[in-house]
Amino acid sequence: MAMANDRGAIPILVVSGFLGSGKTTLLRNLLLDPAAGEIAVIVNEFGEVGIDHHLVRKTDVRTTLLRNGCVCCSMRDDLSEALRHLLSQRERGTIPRFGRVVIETTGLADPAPILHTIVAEPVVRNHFRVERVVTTIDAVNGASNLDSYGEALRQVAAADHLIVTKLDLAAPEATEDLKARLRSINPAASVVAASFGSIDFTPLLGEDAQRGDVGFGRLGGGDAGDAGVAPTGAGFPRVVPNSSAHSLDDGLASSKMSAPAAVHAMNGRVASRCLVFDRPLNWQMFGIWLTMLLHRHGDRILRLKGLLNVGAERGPLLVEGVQHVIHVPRHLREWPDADRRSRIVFIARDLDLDQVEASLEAFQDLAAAV
Amino acid sequence: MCVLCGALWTEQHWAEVAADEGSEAPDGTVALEIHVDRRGRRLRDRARRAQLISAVFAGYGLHYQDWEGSSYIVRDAKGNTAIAPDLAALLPAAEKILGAPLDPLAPAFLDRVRARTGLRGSVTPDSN
Repeated sequence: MAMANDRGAIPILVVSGFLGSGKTTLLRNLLLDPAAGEIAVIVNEFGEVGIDHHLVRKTDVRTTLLRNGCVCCSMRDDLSEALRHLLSQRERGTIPRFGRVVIETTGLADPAPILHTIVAEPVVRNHFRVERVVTTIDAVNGASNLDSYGEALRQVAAADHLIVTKLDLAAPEATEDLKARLRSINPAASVVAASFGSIDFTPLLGEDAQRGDVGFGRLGGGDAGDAGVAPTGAGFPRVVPNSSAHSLDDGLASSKMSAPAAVHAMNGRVASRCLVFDRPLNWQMFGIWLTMLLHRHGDRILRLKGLLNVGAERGPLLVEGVQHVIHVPRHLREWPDADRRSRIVFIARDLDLDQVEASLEAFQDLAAAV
Repeated sequence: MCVLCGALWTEQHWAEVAADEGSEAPDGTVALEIHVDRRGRRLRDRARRAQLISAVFAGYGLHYQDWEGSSYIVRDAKGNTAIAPDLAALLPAAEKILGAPLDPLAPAFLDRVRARTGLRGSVTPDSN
């Protein structure tokens, strides 16, 4: 199981999305955006002849093309090699000193192994960090892709941002339905719409304190709120329904998600749920439990993202993971508001989240008893 | 490698990072005072983690032991033993001895965990 290291590392933005969903268009617009700064691009293509790198003209000199396959498995070594090569060139001054790397994956790539490569390869993980995963979804074919291809589902689940593209070709009602479905699959992501790849890239590129709608960054950079408010009781845990109107980040930053209810957002066999715990969690037992859970069921946990109250005087502990890949937990300086409860979202496939909840509760009870 | 401890670390498991441990300097160096403080705390954390893992593994009839703060040793009642460097490696090693997967969601296992908290019945360590 890998752990990301983000000490002073170069951020990597992973652009994912199914075949023909507008990744390259988005990337081209991103490169033209002044907010993007100096970017190095790694384009991964599936097929004998790479095409996309010809479209990314602005960064030809800094574009590394990985041929013949999916970066998630067979080309993983190439990805780490490409990153190390970029780093070497940057340090030797043979290319401009870029401040960010963008990896455009193939339309068939599962983002998880890509993230794993970044956080597990010894050299890469000490120089790069995963900044965000952005996934594009075609407004015309997105729904059918989600129905038919597990890759599309995994791309959506792994995302921090979901960008619905090709709005001009789809009926508004269909687009809204798709957005609602995306929110139910991945309440941890923001959902925005884009025509011709044109969006405000600021939320994708900002540092923690500037993440805006991404929420988790806002939690780290925002005001402490009413620090005097204690957890509301000993109830443990509360299950909170997903909201179709707010992203997880909205919910995590809000105290409104307190209604004890048990609602699954189901998309086929994928379920998501936000667990809320009133009492502080034992961090060590949480780590043992999550390690065991991911060891046994990691391939079925598409995404997890949580703010944990571990009883520390400072802010919450941010835990994020995609399948087996866990980013190094970060202690945020402050809570986003007066709500001090732990909140964890799971997006899982073919996994009983009632059992997940019961298991975490049992482990935490055990920690309190020994 | 830590020149003070003489320990070689290739990777630190994410769950073995202290909950409130701050970031190190960008170049990875740590002041001596901070290191000494952290080392003591990490050993204390590790001892507590060992206690918790032992409690969990008891539900499988496995015995767990921390070895010198650098490795984990897991063994069963027959004396089958395995050594693992970190938590991630510990689980496959334990499964190999157990001959069965360690599933934290298995109802029977959870019953045994709950029994240890006094919530239900008594502890009956056995296989998964």
